Amino acid sequence: MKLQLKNDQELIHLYLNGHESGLEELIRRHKSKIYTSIYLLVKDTYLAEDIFQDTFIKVINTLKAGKYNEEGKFLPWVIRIAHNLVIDHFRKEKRTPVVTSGDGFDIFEVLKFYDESMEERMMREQTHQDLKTLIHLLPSEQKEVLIMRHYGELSFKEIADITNVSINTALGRMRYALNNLRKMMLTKELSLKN
Amino acid sequence: MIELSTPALNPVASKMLKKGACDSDDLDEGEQAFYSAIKKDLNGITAEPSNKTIDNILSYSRSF
Repeated sequence: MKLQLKNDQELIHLYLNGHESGLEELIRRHKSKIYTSIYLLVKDTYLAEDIFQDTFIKVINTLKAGKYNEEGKFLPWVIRIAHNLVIDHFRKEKRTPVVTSGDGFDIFEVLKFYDESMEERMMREQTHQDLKTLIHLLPSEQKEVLIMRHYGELSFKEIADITNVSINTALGRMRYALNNLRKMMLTKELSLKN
Repeated sequence: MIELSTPALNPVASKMLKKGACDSDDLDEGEQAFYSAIKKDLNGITAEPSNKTIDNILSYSRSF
Protein backbone atom coordinates (compact mmCIF):
# COMPACT_ATOMS: atom_id res chain seq x y z
CA MET A 1 0.00 0.00 0.00
CA LYS A 2 1.37 3.39 -0.95
CA LEU A 3 2.49 5.51 1.96
CA GLN A 4 0.45 8.45 0.74
CA LEU A 5 -2.72 6.40 1.17
CA LYS A 6 -1.99 5.54 4.79
CA ASN A 7 -3.49 7.72 7.49
CA ASP A 8 -1.33 9.33 10.15
CA GLN A 9 -1.99 6.64 12.75
CA GLU A 10 -0.94 3.93 10.29
CA LEU A 11 2.25 5.84 9.51
CA ILE A 12 3.05 6.14 13.20
CA HIS A 13 2.58 2.40 13.66
CA LEU A 14 4.77 1.80 10.64
CA TYR A 15 7.46 4.01 12.12
CA LEU A 16 7.27 2.39 15.54
CA ASN A 17 7.66 -0.98 13.86
CA GLY A 18 11.01 0.12 12.53
CA HIS A 19 10.15 1.70 9.19
CA GLU A 20 11.67 5.16 8.88
CA SER A 21 9.51 5.69 5.81
CA GLY A 22 6.56 6.19 8.15
CA LEU A 23 8.23 9.21 9.72
CA GLU A 24 9.42 10.50 6.37
CA GLU A 25 5.87 10.48 5.03
CA LEU A 26 4.50 12.18 8.15
CA ILE A 27 7.07 14.94 7.77
CA ARG A 28 6.44 15.28 4.05
CA ARG A 29 2.70 15.45 4.63
CA HIS A 30 2.67 18.03 7.41
CA LYS A 31 5.94 19.97 7.17
CA SER A 32 4.46 22.94 5.33
CA LYS A 33 1.69 23.65 7.83
CA ILE A 34 3.93 23.09 10.84
CA TYR A 35 6.79 25.17 9.49
CA THR A 36 4.50 27.99 8.35
CA SER A 37 2.82 28.07 11.76
CA ILE A 38 6.22 28.50 13.40
CA TYR A 39 7.51 31.01 10.87
CA LEU A 40 4.47 33.28 11.10
CA LEU A 41 4.98 33.48 14.86
CA VAL A 42 8.75 33.97 15.02
CA LYS A 43 9.25 35.79 11.70
CA ASP A 44 12.81 34.53 11.31
CA THR A 45 13.74 31.83 8.79
CA TYR A 46 16.69 30.39 10.68
CA LEU A 47 14.90 30.39 14.01
CA ALA A 48 11.87 28.71 12.43
CA GLU A 49 14.16 25.98 11.06
CA ASP A 50 15.64 25.41 14.53
CA ILE A 51 12.26 25.23 16.22
CA PHE A 52 10.91 22.95 13.50
CA GLN A 53 13.84 20.61 14.06
CA ASP A 54 13.44 20.70 17.83
CA THR A 55 9.73 20.02 17.43
CA PHE A 56 10.34 16.82 15.56
CA ILE A 57 13.07 15.74 17.94
CA LYS A 58 10.47 15.94 20.69
CA VAL A 59 7.99 14.07 18.48
CA ILE A 60 10.51 11.31 17.88
CA ASN A 61 11.45 11.08 21.55
CA THR A 62 7.82 10.79 22.58
CA LEU A 63 6.99 8.21 19.94
CA LYS A 64 10.05 6.12 20.75
CA ALA A 65 9.24 6.28 24.46
CA GLY A 66 5.79 4.90 23.76
CA LYS A 67 4.13 7.98 25.22
CA TYR A 68 2.08 9.07 22.21
CA ASN A 69 -1.64 9.21 22.92
CA GLU A 70 -3.27 7.47 19.99
CA GLU A 71 -6.57 9.16 20.62
CA GLY A 72 -5.13 12.52 19.65
CA LYS A 73 -4.64 13.64 16.06
CA PHE A 74 -1.05 13.87 14.91
CA LEU A 75 -1.02 17.38 13.41
CA PRO A 76 -2.66 19.16 16.38
CA TRP A 77 -0.28 17.33 18.70
CA VAL A 78 2.78 18.46 16.76
CA ILE A 79 1.46 22.01 16.47
CA ARG A 80 1.03 22.06 20.23
CA ILE A 81 4.67 21.01 20.69
CA ALA A 82 5.82 23.64 18.20
CA HIS A 83 3.72 26.30 19.89
CA ASN A 84 5.22 25.50 23.29
CA LEU A 85 8.73 25.72 21.86
CA VAL A 86 7.93 29.11 20.34
CA ILE A 87 6.66 30.31 23.72
CA ASP A 88 9.80 28.95 25.40
CA HIS A 89 11.91 30.88 22.91
CA PHE A 90 10.09 34.14 23.55
CA ARG A 91 10.44 33.64 27.29
CA LYS A 92 14.17 33.17 26.91
CA GLU A 93 14.51 36.12 24.60
CA LYS A 94 12.07 38.22 26.68
CA ARG A 95 11.09 40.20 23.71
CA THR A 96 8.44 40.37 21.06
CA PRO A 97 9.69 39.64 17.54
CA VAL A 98 9.95 42.64 15.27
CA VAL A 99 8.85 42.61 11.67
CA THR A 100 12.09 42.94 9.76
CA SER A 101 13.62 41.61 6.60
CA GLY A 102 17.09 41.38 8.15
CA ASP A 103 17.04 37.66 8.90
CA GLY A 104 18.43 36.48 5.62
CA PHE A 105 16.46 35.81 2.50
CA ASP A 106 12.68 35.71 2.65
CA ILE A 107 11.81 32.17 1.69
CA PHE A 108 8.35 33.21 0.56
CA GLU A 109 9.96 35.06 -2.29
CA VAL A 110 11.55 31.99 -3.78
CA LEU A 111 8.39 29.97 -4.20
CA LYS A 112 8.20 28.95 -7.82
CA PHE A 113 5.02 28.62 -9.79
CA TYR A 114 4.74 27.47 -13.36
CA ASP A 115 2.32 28.22 -16.18
CA GLU A 116 1.54 31.65 -14.78
CA SER A 117 1.80 34.97 -16.59
CA MET A 118 4.12 37.64 -15.21
CA GLU A 119 1.16 39.84 -14.33
CA GLU A 120 -0.62 36.99 -12.54
CA ARG A 121 2.56 36.16 -10.69
CA MET A 122 3.08 39.74 -9.61
CA MET A 123 -0.51 40.02 -8.41
CA ARG A 124 -0.28 36.75 -6.53
CA GLU A 125 3.00 37.71 -4.92
CA GLN A 126 1.62 41.10 -3.93
CA THR A 127 -1.50 39.54 -2.43
CA HIS A 128 0.54 37.04 -0.48
CA GLN A 129 2.97 39.69 0.69
CA ASP A 130 0.08 41.91 1.75
CA LEU A 131 -1.61 39.08 3.63
CA LYS A 132 1.61 38.12 5.38
CA THR A 133 2.10 41.72 6.46
CA LEU A 134 -1.47 41.99 7.71
CA ILE A 135 -1.16 38.78 9.70
CA HIS A 136 2.02 40.11 11.30
CA LEU A 137 0.10 43.24 12.30
CA LEU A 138 -2.54 41.30 14.21
CA PRO A 139 -2.31 41.27 18.01
CA SER A 140 -0.27 38.23 18.99
CA GLU A 141 -3.10 36.32 20.65
CA GLN A 142 -5.31 36.71 17.59
CA LYS A 143 -2.52 35.74 15.21
CA GLU A 144 -1.81 32.69 17.36
CA VAL A 145 -5.40 31.44 17.16
CA LEU A 146 -5.66 32.09 13.43
CA ILE A 147 -2.44 30.18 12.77
CA MET A 148 -3.37 27.23 14.96
CA ARG A 149 -6.87 27.06 13.53
CA HIS A 150 -5.93 27.35 9.89
CA TYR A 151 -2.56 25.64 9.61
CA GLY A 152 -2.76 23.36 12.63
CA GLU A 153 -6.38 22.36 12.01
CA LEU A 154 -6.96 22.54 15.74
CA SER A 155 -10.47 22.79 17.15
CA PHE A 156 -11.25 25.79 19.30
CA LYS A 157 -11.29 23.48 22.30
CA GLU A 158 -7.75 22.33 21.51
CA ILE A 159 -6.63 25.92 20.99
CA ALA A 160 -8.23 26.89 24.28
CA ASP A 161 -6.38 24.08 26.07
CA ILE A 162 -3.02 25.06 24.56
CA THR A 163 -3.38 28.77 25.27
CA ASN A 164 -5.01 28.32 28.67
CA VAL A 165 -8.16 30.26 27.88
CA SER A 166 -11.83 29.36 27.58
CA ILE A 167 -13.31 28.11 24.32
CA ASN A 168 -15.30 31.33 24.11
CA THR A 169 -12.12 33.36 24.36
CA ALA A 170 -10.35 31.27 21.71
CA LEU A 171 -13.33 31.63 19.38
CA GLY A 172 -13.56 35.32 20.14
CA ARG A 173 -9.92 35.83 19.25
CA MET A 174 -10.48 34.05 15.93
CA ARG A 175 -13.42 36.31 15.20
CA TYR A 176 -11.42 39.39 16.05
CA ALA A 177 -8.54 38.13 13.90
CA LEU A 178 -10.84 37.71 10.90
CA ASN A 179 -12.62 41.00 11.49
CA ASN A 180 -9.33 42.84 11.87
CA LEU A 181 -7.92 41.29 8.71
CA ARG A 182 -11.04 42.32 6.85
CA LYS A 183 -10.87 45.84 8.30
CA MET A 184 -7.22 46.22 7.30
CA MET A 185 -7.88 44.90 3.79
CA LEU A 186 -10.78 47.30 3.30
CA THR A 187 -8.69 50.21 4.56
CA LYS A 188 -5.86 49.27 2.21
CA GLU A 189 -8.27 49.07 -0.74
CA LEU A 190 -9.76 52.44 0.11
CA SER A 191 -6.35 54.05 0.41
CA LEU A 192 -5.33 52.65 -3.00
CA LYS A 193 -8.46 54.04 -4.64
CA ASN A 194 -7.94 57.56 -3.28
CA MET B 1 -4.18 54.75 11.85
CA ILE B 2 -6.22 51.56 11.82
CA GLU B 3 -7.70 50.78 15.18
CA LEU B 4 -7.73 47.07 15.81
CA SER B 5 -10.16 45.41 18.15
CA THR B 6 -8.96 43.81 21.37
CA PRO B 7 -11.46 44.89 24.00
CA ALA B 8 -10.86 43.90 27.59
CA LEU B 9 -14.39 42.53 27.83
CA ASN B 10 -15.39 39.90 25.33
CA PRO B 11 -18.74 40.90 23.79
CA VAL B 12 -18.70 37.76 21.67
CA ALA B 13 -18.55 35.61 24.78
CA SER B 14 -21.24 37.70 26.43
CA LYS B 15 -23.50 37.30 23.41
CA MET B 16 -22.92 33.58 23.38
CA LEU B 17 -23.59 33.23 27.06
CA LYS B 18 -26.90 34.97 26.55
CA LYS B 19 -27.72 32.61 23.67
CA GLY B 20 -27.03 29.53 25.68
CA ALA B 21 -24.67 26.64 24.94
CA CYS B 22 -21.70 27.62 22.80
CA ASP B 23 -20.83 25.73 19.65
CA SER B 24 -17.06 25.64 19.58
CA ASP B 25 -16.98 26.18 15.79
CA ASP B 26 -19.53 28.93 15.75
CA LEU B 27 -18.26 31.60 13.38
CA ASP B 28 -21.20 33.55 12.02
CA GLU B 29 -22.09 33.51 8.35
CA GLY B 30 -20.19 36.68 7.46
CA GLU B 31 -17.06 35.60 9.33
CA GLN B 32 -17.19 32.13 7.77
CA ALA B 33 -17.63 33.66 4.31
CA PHE B 34 -14.63 35.95 4.78
CA TYR B 35 -12.52 33.09 6.17
CA SER B 36 -13.47 30.95 3.17
CA ALA B 37 -12.54 33.82 0.87
CA ILE B 38 -9.04 34.16 2.30
CA LYS B 39 -8.32 30.45 2.81
CA LYS B 40 -6.74 30.10 -0.59
CA ASP B 41 -4.41 33.01 0.09
CA LEU B 42 -3.60 31.68 3.56
CA ASN B 43 -2.67 28.38 1.94
CA GLY B 44 -0.67 30.33 -0.62
CA ILE B 45 1.66 31.85 1.93
CA THR B 46 2.85 28.51 3.29
CA ALA B 47 6.54 27.69 3.15
CA GLU B 48 8.69 24.70 3.87
CA PRO B 49 11.76 23.90 5.94
CA SER B 50 15.05 23.22 4.21
CA ASN B 51 16.11 19.75 3.12
CA LYS B 52 19.02 20.02 5.53
CA THR B 53 16.63 20.38 8.48
CA ILE B 54 14.62 17.37 7.31
CA ASP B 55 17.84 15.37 6.94
CA ASN B 56 18.89 16.32 10.47
CA ILE B 57 15.57 15.08 11.83
CA LEU B 58 15.76 11.80 9.97
CA SER B 59 19.38 11.30 11.01
CA TYR B 60 18.35 11.81 14.60
CA SER B 61 15.62 9.23 14.22
CA ARG B 62 18.00 6.70 12.70
CA SER B 63 20.42 7.18 15.60
CA PHE B 64 18.05 5.31 17.94
